[in-house]
Amino acid sequence: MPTSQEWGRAFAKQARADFDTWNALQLYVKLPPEARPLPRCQKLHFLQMACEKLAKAHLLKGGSRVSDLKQSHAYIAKHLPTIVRQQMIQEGENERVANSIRDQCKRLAREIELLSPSVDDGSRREDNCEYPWVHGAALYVPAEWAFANLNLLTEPNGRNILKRIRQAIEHLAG
Amino acid sequence: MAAINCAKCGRSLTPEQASAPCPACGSKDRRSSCSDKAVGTESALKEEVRKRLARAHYTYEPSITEIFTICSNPAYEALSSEPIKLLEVNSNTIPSGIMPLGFDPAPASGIPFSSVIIEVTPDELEKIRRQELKLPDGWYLGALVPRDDDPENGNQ
Repeated sequence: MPTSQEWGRAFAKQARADFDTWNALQLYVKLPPEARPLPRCQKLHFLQMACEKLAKAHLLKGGSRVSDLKQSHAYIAKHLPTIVRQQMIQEGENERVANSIRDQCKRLAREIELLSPSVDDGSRREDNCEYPWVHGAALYVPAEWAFANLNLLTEPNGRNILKRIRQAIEHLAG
Repeated sequence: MAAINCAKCGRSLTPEQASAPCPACGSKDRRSSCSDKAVGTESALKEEVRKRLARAHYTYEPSITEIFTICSNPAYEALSSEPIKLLEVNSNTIPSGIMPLGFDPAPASGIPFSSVIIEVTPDELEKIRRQELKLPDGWYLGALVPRDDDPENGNQ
């Protein structure tokens, strides 16, 4: 039977695959001119999966059983800020930068968690990156949704947070 | 077996009693840390890293009000393979029970030991003290790590 440590590393490796795919779709994949651009929801789906697996990897390393973690997708908002904080401590990030990132990291973590269709903030936030949803009388499609709350990802602090997420994944995946 | 004492009345406590109010005086304050009974350079280093890590978390997250050490059997605590374990009380975190996050050592960053962080709300801390929430693996709540070197600032 694999140990918790081995499960943790396995989840981190899969988180790395998801993160690499997000990065490739975001930066490197060039489609032919006649192709429709990739919707933002498809890219963000990989970021959501990477962050969820990273949180689960640290929980497994902390002793959680893999069977306990199958029930929920809601681990990112709670744990990603702690993981990013620990990563910043390890990397010796200066206090001023850490302070400027902290609150944005919490907001970003919550928004990333809400990308999962099973997390909807008590039906207040049904926008997600996988399935169409109804709000009021209108029907919305993830492929046509802007996900404006995640524009922070492209700002300097957002990029710094993504860098810390990447470092945390690499550190754990080995 | 290393002793854990009530900080108020000095009564010696078992690990099970350490997480609950003192049976003699009701105080929840303890005079012990995981490794203050252990000897050797490595234990001293572990204690130093534990404090440094806790203080870094205080600095990077001002909504953390208290950080406690979490102790296991003292025989394990002296081992370098036993992680440094911290319980962070954060008024801004999401209540979710006891969910330990494990981290690998980062020797290049001066953290040569693996670590475990558990973040809880103040309400959850009270539940741990009342033993309504259980720490895993026979772990128990140890001493408060003060925010800084001020002995008046929670140093027990």
